[in-house]
Amino acid sequence: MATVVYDGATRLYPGADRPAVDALDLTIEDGEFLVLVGPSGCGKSTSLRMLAGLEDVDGGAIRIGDVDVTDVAPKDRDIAMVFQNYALYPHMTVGDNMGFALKIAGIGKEERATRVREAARILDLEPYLDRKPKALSGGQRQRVAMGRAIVRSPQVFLMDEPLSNLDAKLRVQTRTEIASLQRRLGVTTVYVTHDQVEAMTMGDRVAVLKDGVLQQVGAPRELYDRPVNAFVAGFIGSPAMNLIELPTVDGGVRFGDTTLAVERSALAQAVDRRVLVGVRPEDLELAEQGLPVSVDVVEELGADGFVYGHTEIGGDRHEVVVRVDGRQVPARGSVVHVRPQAGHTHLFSTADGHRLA
Amino acid sequence: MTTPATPLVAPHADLPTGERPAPRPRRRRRPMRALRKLPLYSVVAVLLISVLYPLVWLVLGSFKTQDEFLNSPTWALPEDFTNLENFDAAWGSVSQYLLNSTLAVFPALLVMLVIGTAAGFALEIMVWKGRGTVLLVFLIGIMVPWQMILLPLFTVYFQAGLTQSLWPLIITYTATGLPLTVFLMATYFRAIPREVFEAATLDGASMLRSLVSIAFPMMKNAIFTIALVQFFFMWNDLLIALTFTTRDELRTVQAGLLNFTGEFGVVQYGPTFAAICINVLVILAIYLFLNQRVMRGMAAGAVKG
Repeated sequence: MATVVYDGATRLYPGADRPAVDALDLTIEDGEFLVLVGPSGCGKSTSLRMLAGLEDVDGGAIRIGDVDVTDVAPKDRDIAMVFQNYALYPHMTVGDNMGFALKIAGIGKEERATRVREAARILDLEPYLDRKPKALSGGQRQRVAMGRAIVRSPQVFLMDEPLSNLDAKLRVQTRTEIASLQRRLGVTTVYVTHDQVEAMTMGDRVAVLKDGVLQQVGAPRELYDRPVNAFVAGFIGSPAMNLIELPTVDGGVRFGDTTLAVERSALAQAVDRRVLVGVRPEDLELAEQGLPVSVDVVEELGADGFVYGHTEIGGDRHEVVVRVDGRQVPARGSVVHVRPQAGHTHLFSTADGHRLA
Repeated sequence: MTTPATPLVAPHADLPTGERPAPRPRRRRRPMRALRKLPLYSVVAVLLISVLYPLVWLVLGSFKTQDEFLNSPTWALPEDFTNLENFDAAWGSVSQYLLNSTLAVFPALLVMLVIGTAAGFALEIMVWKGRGTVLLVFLIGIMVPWQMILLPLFTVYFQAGLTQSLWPLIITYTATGLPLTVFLMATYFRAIPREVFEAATLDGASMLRSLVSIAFPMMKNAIFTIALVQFFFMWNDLLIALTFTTRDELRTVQAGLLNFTGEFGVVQYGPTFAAICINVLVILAIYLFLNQRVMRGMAAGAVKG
């Protein structure tokens, strides 16, 4: 087990005009479960593959423990990786798949069998050790891929969207299993996903990337409560945070027919007297006064309901989502007024999206 | 004469509707259906006859004596089906030809498959500059008519002192088979997810280990398919064998059969037919042995397994 440090790590693909991963600075503590999350093409998989040694590092360095592994061959990094498509060897049995790395390492047949059996026991794979991967279900294959990683007792686990090939129900179940297994083994883990629900539920910390640049890293709650910019605010949370560009007035922001009080220091940074106001759907409440929202669609989920509507500010249409009591949902086509609960408003710059308050 | 009593009630009439056996399909349409398929059957029959008849004639001929060939009608059956003298006579030369063919074809096949698979692996799985150009060069190899280069090759082999051996055949068969093999192997490798080899790399496998422990077993069916296709090309080759075999002791089966004459240049039909039969039987045995794998290999590239 070890810490992992990305020290200004950069990857520039040949022929590309901007780096896939741009000067990534990130420290993953010993035994920590860190989730790299972001939209497609944000560089999260590339970051993971750089750590695995499957991609070159064009700038900066990567360290595992005290060792600079930037130019170390993948097999000498003492890492194990779980791939999105599991990458099992189809001609080998489950047992051989799990024991292949040990065989190459020159570990004796008996010890190999013991370690494979131990890993199989942890993952409930014992009855399948003699089967070929094609005779297994998707969930079982995923567990074999996990088994292949844990049987080696590596310093770091790398997981590249390992749940995305499973159906929704199995994904939720396996999510919990992986998280608890990682806690039990205590191995430093870097987990890549595009699913922010996985990121929020599994990771000790979550790192959000966009266009190869690290946006924010922190505990899930921190990312949710205090996103550092509009991108993180919009990416983390489901349904996404409402982000509406509003004009500032003296002492606050004009929010429909009310005024939201905002610190003067934040207002002073507003560009062209406009700011991006962010409010999560659950932080908006129906009121007599506030922002008028025309209800387009109502999703009733039992206890809660989500109102999808729109509002017009200065001739621009803005989509708005509001969480309401599931038993008292407004009718489609009606107009409701909403306002944010006190202390649950986020303010971002309209220029570069950074957090103002 | 008594006639069986006709039942007044339809059979199973006492059963509830759901338990009655399903009515038999009406048979009246059958002749019509058979008639509709008549053209199809005719085409199949013509094809079968055109393929099988020469073979049957060949086998029958292999039992005939020279006298029967010269004095009996062409379509006559052999007088004695247990007459194996022709086979006995043919085996003396054919066994040497078969040995030569085996010694020329199988080493060439083995070298070609090993190099072809390794090249396919290097061109599709490994990442290096210029691999696209190298693949293109191999593709150009497919387009070169190898008949054009036989004479220059002969000069090279002659100057290298190889013409008194089977080496010219082994080298030429390997070289002419490689472009197609490399191209097909590269195509098959493309269908394998790259992550499988990345996983092997992370497991600690060297490139050679990945090739031997992962690539070869995964490509087994593809290798068998290519092996069979190339085997027929090499085994049935006449031009290359004729060009490079300078002595009768070096002749392969095909080159040998062409010159299969008795003393004073008289064509010995019986032994010739028997020799061809032996050749066909060898090929058929190999095909039947490999057929299953070939079928699997054909499908291997079609969908991601």
